[in-house]
Amino acid sequence: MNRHRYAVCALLLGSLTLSACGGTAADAGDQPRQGGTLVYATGDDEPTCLDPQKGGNVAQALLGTQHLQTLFYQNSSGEILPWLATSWKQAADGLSWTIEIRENVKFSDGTALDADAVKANLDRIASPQTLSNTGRLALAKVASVEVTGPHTVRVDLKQPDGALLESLAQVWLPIESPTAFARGLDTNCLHPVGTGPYMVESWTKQDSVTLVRNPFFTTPPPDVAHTGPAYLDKIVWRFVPDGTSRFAALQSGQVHVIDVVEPQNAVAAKGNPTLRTLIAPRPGEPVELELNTGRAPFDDIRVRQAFFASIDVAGALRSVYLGTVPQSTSLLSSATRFNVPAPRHAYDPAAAAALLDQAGWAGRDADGYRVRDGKRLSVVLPYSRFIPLENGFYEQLQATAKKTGFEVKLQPLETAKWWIANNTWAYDAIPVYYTKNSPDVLRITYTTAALAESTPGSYHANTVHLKSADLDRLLEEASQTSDDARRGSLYQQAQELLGAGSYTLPIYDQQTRLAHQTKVRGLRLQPSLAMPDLYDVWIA
Amino acid sequence: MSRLALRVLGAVFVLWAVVTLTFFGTQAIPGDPAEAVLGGPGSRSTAAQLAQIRAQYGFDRPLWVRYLDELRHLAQGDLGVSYALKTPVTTLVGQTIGATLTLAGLSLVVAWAVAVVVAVAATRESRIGAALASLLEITAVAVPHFWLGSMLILVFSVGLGWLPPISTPGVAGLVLPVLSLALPLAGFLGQLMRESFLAALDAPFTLSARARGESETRVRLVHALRHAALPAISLSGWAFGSLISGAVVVEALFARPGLGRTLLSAVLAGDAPVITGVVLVVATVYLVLTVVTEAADRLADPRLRSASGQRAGAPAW
Amino acid sequence: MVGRLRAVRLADVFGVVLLFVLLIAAAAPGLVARRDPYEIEPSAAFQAPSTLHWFGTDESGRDTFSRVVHGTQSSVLIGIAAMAIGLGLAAALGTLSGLGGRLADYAVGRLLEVLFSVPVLLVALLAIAVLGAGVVPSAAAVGIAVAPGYARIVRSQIISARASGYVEAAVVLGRSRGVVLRRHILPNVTARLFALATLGVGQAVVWACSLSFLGLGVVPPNTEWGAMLAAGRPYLTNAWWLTVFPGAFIVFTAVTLTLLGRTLQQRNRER
Repeated sequence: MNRHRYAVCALLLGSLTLSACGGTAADAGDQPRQGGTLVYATGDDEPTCLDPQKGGNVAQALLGTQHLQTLFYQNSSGEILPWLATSWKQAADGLSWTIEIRENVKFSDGTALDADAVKANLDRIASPQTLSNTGRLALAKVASVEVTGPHTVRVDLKQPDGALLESLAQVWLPIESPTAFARGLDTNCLHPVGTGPYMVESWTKQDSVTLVRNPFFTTPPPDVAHTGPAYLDKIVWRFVPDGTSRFAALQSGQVHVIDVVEPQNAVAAKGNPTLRTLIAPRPGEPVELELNTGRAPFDDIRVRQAFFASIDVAGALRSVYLGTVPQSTSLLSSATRFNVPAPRHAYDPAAAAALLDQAGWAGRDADGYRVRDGKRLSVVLPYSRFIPLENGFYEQLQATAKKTGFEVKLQPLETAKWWIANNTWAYDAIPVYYTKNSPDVLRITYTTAALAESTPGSYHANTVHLKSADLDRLLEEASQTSDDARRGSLYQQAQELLGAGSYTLPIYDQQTRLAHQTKVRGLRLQPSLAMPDLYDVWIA
Repeated sequence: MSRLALRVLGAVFVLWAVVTLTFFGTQAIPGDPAEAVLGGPGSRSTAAQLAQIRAQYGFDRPLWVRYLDELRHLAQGDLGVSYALKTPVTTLVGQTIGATLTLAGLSLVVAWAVAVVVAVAATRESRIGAALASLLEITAVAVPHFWLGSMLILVFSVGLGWLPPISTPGVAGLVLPVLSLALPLAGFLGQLMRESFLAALDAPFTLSARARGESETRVRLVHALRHAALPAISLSGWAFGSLISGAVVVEALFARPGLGRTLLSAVLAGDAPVITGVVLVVATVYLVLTVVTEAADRLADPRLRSASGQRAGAPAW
Repeated sequence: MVGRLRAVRLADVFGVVLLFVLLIAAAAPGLVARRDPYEIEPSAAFQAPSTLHWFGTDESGRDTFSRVVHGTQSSVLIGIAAMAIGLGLAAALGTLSGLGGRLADYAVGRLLEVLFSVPVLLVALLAIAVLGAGVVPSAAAVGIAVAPGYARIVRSQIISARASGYVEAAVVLGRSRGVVLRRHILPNVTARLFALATLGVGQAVVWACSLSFLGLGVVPPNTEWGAMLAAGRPYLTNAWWLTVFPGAFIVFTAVTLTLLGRTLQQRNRER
């Protein structure tokens, strides 16, 4: 009985309609219990700074969701709801937004939330001194922030920005106590102060972060089961990089919740009556393989198509992932608005061979690889553990591509070295993903501006090396539009244009993959980035 | 006493050399230290940010200036601040050294206990027993720490559910990591002790003890064992080094905070101050142990002029 | 004493048989395992050991038995290469120290003390950080890391050989330094070093595997055992065979080489 109800829940969660499973239905009859310590074991990296305004990655977002909050809240259907902001209005020319800030809210250090605090935060994110990456990029179109009343700010833009509210609903742009900022960047990294249901108590490097309940909490998200302070006394957020140890710790009852659950362990958890899984796609671009069109052999669309046709994505997902993740068919994750599913990618060695013959790679050398003008058809593919693709996937890709005559040179690299390979264009094919709660992610990763050609060797989001004036125009217009119908049409055209170019092979939607003890109740995901939210959680 | 002073002076020289090698070693790691400060090449830092950090940290100064600067700071006990974590290295080491020393110390004790029991038990007049013990020891030495640890997790955590698979503050969380580290070392110590134990059983002083009419048990436990333990004691410094190597793996496996894990992530992040700090601390502990065990050797057995010949017998673990 | 000698002989026979198995696997893996170790078959992933797949299959449906057998070559080669690098460095340092006069001996002695004070894996990690991951860097890193230990042994061997009666006699008889070195010291030391190397290859295999486990070793889909172990370990609970068999082969190899090395050492002593 219980199992069935759970299966329905998991299904609903898959499509991100979270509220139906927000704890009340499944836990009917049980009263939430106050108190207790929850141990959360994360397989994501240990952040180097707990303040997501600096840097801005998933590891920070996971923790930040527990103690920080944003101006806006994005619900599971992508709508923007009030949170620390109560209302907002766009000027007729689209070049400014007036935002009303909620009154009678205090940060956990007692500082009051007001217009000055919001300005201080937005200015701080935009300032180069803060070393913000994700947040700063999201505010790229902001010209200035003006305080127009005790609880009113006006955000002036250089260009209209249809994605601004979505950006301000990401935990990488949280509103923190300006008093706390005065302590300096490094101290704020250790103890950021926000309005969330928990507060950072201590951080033992290489081990854990301890969070305690914020007794002054007054700002629950709009779609949760209860109000008032959180149920749990304390959260111990442990860093357990080894997946097998992490799952074994959950099985043995040593920890309550784990993330980055590996596929085989998700299968094992489903067969265990004391465990549950909570798996949902994250918004943005799926885990995908992008081809460098800036150099041979992938400057030729036929070779790109041949390469994709010689990869058996479905077979790899079935075996390596034990069929636990659905294949992605869209350039935007299924959790992102305006995603357009393309025809399912097919493994077709015959078509691949024909395309390579056409493209002049007709000969084969002694090892069976295709050659043209005495040069072998070689593909350099650097990857790193932080990109959520299993080794087996790359190895199968290598083996099937070899059959059509591609020599795939796999390069497993440490994170830092992978970024160097990425930044210096030292790849032909590269696995990437991008987490963002807006289709505007396409503009960030495919437009000419994202090539960052002015500073060689620096980060560029346009890993495909695409220069398409048509695409630039479509995505720029879409980003400046607030009309949903118009946005939908523009994003559809953009995705079709990108699909026709065969630049990107979507593999599967990046996911938040949780497993937890059955006695952990009320665990939910915050829809904007599908981050776990422990506010409603209690231990039965 | 002047001998001790000389030894201390030698130790200081060794530490200086270790720092020098590590300093130039970390300089050879590919990658921009300014990027390491800003969160790695993936942090999308701008050229201006990089320039600012280079100036702030002095990365733009000549290599020898930075080297001398580093020596000056280290001489004052200042290990610097982690590039990635922005925490003083002394704090990082202070937070983790206790856990690693506990792990290594307990492993050493357990390894010793196992080795003694096997050595004494296996030198009864049984060929099969001796062969079996020998094979067990050789096998124990050949088992990689992470494989042993994985097997222990498979049996005792996943299978039987007796012990936690990741470390806890209590004793229960220490059992599996300690066993993973101790068993291979026990195999090695066992081999060494059994050899000298057998030699001691045939030695003149044992024969004379027997001739005096002392019981066989007494001969074994008091005379022969004491003799057999000597070479193994003088290996304690070396054993500590091998345990630190193992700790890098075991701490990663059991999610234990410790020097090994700190070092591993520092190497991956190109965090030079942490690498230097950890290597320096480990070398210091090693040197202290060596000086102490040498002194202990000399106290226990005045005939021993030098322990180095024996220590050279240790395999490169 | 007779009894102990016989026990040693028994171990010899055991060791030689194991070595034979290992050599066949390394030299002609195709004879032992017919399946292609790289052939994927996604529909046959994670099959438990059976008569069809003796050691089961991995996440890509590859035959684990074939992979383990074919992996002998690269695993043992890395071990041998690491040992060769380590012993080469050790021999150079040791010879310099043992024969180069007092100053050289002092300098090498200090250098060894310095290197000895940094644990092996720390040195290997630093070497990998500088050289990058891969087959050659792993072998080099392990070689560099184990060299100081062996250098110490070489040094003490040379010193003891130099001090021995026959060398003194040769010197008294007016033989030149080179002749003494070539005829008397080196043969003696080399025989011992060979035994030591055999012991060390097993340990080097274990070290290289540890690097692979930390993600700093050999590149997939290479069948090197450490890489196989690292790839199989995530599936420890649902496909134990991916961890147990490659690990067992590492242990098996190290044990075999240790037994062999022991035998050689014993021979040297008897001579």
